Amino acid sequence: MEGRRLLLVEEASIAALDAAITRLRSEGCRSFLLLACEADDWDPALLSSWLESLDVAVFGGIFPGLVQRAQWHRHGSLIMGFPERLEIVVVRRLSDRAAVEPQLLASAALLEAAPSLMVLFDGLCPHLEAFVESLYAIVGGHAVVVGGGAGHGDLVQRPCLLGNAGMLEDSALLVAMPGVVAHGVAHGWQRLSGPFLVTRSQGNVLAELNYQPAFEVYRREVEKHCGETFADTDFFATAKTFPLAIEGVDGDFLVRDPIKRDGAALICVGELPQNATVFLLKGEAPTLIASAGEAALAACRESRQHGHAADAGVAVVFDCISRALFLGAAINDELAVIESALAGCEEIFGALSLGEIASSRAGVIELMNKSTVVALLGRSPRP
Amino acid sequence: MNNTLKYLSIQHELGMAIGTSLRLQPMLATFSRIALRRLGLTSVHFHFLKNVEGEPVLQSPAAERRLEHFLSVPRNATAWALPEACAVDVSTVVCDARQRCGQGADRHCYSFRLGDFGTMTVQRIGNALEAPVIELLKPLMIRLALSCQASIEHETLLQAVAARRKAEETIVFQLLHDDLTQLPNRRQMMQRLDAGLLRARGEGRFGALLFLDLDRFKMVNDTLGHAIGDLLLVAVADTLKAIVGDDGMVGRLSGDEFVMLVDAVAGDEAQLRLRVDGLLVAIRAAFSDALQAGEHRLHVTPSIGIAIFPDGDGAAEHILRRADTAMYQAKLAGLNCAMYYNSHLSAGLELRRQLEKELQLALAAMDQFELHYQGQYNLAGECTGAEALIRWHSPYRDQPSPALFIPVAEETGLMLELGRWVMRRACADIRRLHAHRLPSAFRRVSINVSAVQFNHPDFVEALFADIDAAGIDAHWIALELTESTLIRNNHAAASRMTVLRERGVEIAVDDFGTGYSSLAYLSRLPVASIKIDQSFVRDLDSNAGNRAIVGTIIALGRALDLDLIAEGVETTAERASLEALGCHNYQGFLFSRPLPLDALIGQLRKPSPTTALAEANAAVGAAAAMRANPAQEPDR
Repeated sequence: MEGRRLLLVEEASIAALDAAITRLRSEGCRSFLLLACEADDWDPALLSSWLESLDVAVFGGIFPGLVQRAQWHRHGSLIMGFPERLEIVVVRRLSDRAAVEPQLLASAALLEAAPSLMVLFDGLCPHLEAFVESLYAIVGGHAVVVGGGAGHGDLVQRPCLLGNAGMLEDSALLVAMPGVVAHGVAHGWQRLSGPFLVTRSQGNVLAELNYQPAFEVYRREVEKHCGETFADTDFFATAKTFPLAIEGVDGDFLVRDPIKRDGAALICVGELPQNATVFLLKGEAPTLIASAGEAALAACRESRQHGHAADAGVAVVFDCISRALFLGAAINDELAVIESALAGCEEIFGALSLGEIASSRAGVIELMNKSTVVALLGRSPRP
Repeated sequence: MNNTLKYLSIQHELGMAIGTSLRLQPMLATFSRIALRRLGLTSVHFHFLKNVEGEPVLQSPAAERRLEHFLSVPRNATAWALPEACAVDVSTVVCDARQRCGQGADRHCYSFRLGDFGTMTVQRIGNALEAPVIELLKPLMIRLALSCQASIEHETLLQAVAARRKAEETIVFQLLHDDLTQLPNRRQMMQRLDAGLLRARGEGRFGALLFLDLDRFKMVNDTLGHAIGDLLLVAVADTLKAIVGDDGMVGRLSGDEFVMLVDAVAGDEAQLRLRVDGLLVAIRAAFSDALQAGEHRLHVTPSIGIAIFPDGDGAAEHILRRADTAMYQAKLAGLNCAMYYNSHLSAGLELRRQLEKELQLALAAMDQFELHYQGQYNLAGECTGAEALIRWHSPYRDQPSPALFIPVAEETGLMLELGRWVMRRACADIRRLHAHRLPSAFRRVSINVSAVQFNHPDFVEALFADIDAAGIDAHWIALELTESTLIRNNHAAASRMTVLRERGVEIAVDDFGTGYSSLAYLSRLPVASIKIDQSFVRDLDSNAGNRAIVGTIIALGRALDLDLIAEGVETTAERASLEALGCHNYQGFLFSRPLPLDALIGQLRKPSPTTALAEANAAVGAAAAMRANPAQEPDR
């Protein structure tokens, strides 16, 4: 692992985190990725104060769950120590496009020079597409970008990112990784019906499909296939199985997760641009699980293209929380498939995320929902 | 059907992304970002015709019709293939390039014409764009071109407006600021002083105006050149600004003259003086170090005059004049001095300062000066010559006497310029005199020369140049030098006189008897004549003392074989006394008043005046002169 060390800290206390950091520092680590579980109910004041007191680079987030090899944790924290002093750019006021661009431009030289970037962001921030577009417009396609959205499963936005400035919300952390990252992305959701034309929308609020109230169209289509009515269950219990997807020019799908109903409108994670064509998707456990394995295999293939052996490395997984909610206990199968595809990796860890981010094949950075991102961290360039 | 909707939706979404802003750059940036996402592109690039400033234009000269890069999204992306393939003389939008670029089979590059002034190039990794997608882009490019055209026209208009606004701002700035130092100029300082005065009067407070003039600044210009002088002025301006900070204002009036306005902050005069004294200490400290002017470190000091306001109901100009007068007084006290305005001490100085400024203005045009000529007569009443006398038709004063302004001109160095003009004009007038038939006895025109003028290294050369330019004989000129000029002569001055004498120019001693009356210089220098001062001629018939002095002077002149002439002869009795003592040449109102050249020419044509006529002439001349300016002594 070339000096990278992963620790699971089961006890949810500052003292336990501090002890873990101290231990990793004694082993030569200089930067730390800290993934924490929301169920541990961290006191923001205490955690912020501790983070601010650290004199080493730290970045991370609070997630609904954590991944370690084929297991997922509802409690505890994972700390990955890096031997390098990693450069971290904090972008605040993420929902304000006008404020984002100057911050990115100010750090453009650093970001452009990095071979890859790990991006952790507030997953419940509105206008994330604008941030992603700005990031690509300024940083370009030279760096491979991977990452996931932090946040809480109740979908209420509050501080969820962890950094040297404490706990942050409406922000993103851009971490310049020293080596090339190989990555694979997949979702496994399949077309059920469509296309539908987005005739009215504003950001992540989908108001109309085919000139009709969006919820009505969605309800009609879903109920037609699942045999349940939305009146019988809460909205997300049904909707988690039937995401929407924006159709790309090549016929590929960018999944958009409807998470709430607001009158006749649907609130989604991620934007649905007006005039886009969307499809209704359906999920089946085997397909989703298989796609996660494909994402891991794609990462391995890319790693080999870079001239690296996929084994003896570190894999970071951002697997969407809504996949876990959909799969239920079968999420362990998905993780097992990923582990199996990454056989030989010394460490496989990550988080159940609220939205995922990754460079597409064309280079453009995409914001995804209900997807799996597997990133194999490349070795640091030898001095 | 499914794909049709997809294509329609792509076309619609991209169409809606056109023209989201009037400004070209943000409009294209927005369009590019949406195109990137919607078409799965790697990068988008725009190239346009540009003007010399690098701004996109719709037309450019045929020889320069080359597309230049304008925008790429992402900003650091480079185009795999440049859009030369899109010929700009084709009027329709076409997709010219759909090429594999040799960098990998999955890389695609497409260029679209934007009118006849630009292109959009898109790049993609992975699958090529489907043919229907390319087709749907073509009409969009027409719309995008129209939008670009509107934006470019809009920006051209904005640039024109901005240029005009900037020009207006520049004009306003230049109107109120000094070009060299960027400090407020006289106009702005006077406006601020006006406002300060008003405020001071309204609030019962006191302010001060400091007038600073650099000591010996002219030396810097003369020795190191004006470029270094200018740099020094800028350094002085910066130094003064730093000293006064936000508590006042520094301006440059002209040349090496600066002012510092201390606004009306103090409740009483004593408090204000404390503040001003603090500033003076700071100024002295700052100027104790040398200032950097280019490669030179130069040490300069300011002389400072301070006027406190309000003082009575004096206007801003009045305050400035007082500060100026106080500065002049400070300069007289020595270098690097400061002085508050004091009305008792400064009254005379103020008049001199004012005269100096008026003289400076007059010398800029020279049309306010004129030469009059007073005839010189021999025993037979024949006109043997004339003395050139300067007259100043000042728009500010009623015929100021030379006795008033010549000393000011001499002290301030303006005499050089004024004397040069007198010399040139006198030569030209002699030329005119020659054009008329002069009496046979008329042989010279006397010109007064000041010491500073005579001692100038270029004097002889300049005089000979004037003589040559006028085409006259040097024998027609006599230079009248005062005793003090001669007594201070040095070896160079003696050689100069010899050169003049050799050319034929006569040297005369003016006002003889009033100075040293040294025999030594009369015998050593090539002096041809002496002029007995009018103060000895006065009442010569009844004043035994004057008679004795004049008798001695005449004896001295005869002994040295010098010509003699008495000036200020007003009565027949004085003339008779002079004749009795042996002086046979005269000048004064008894014979003629100083006259304009034309009048002199007219008089020279007439027969010699009789004694009775001469007496009448003297009476009229004296009375006229007294009426014109009772305080001044007329040229007699």
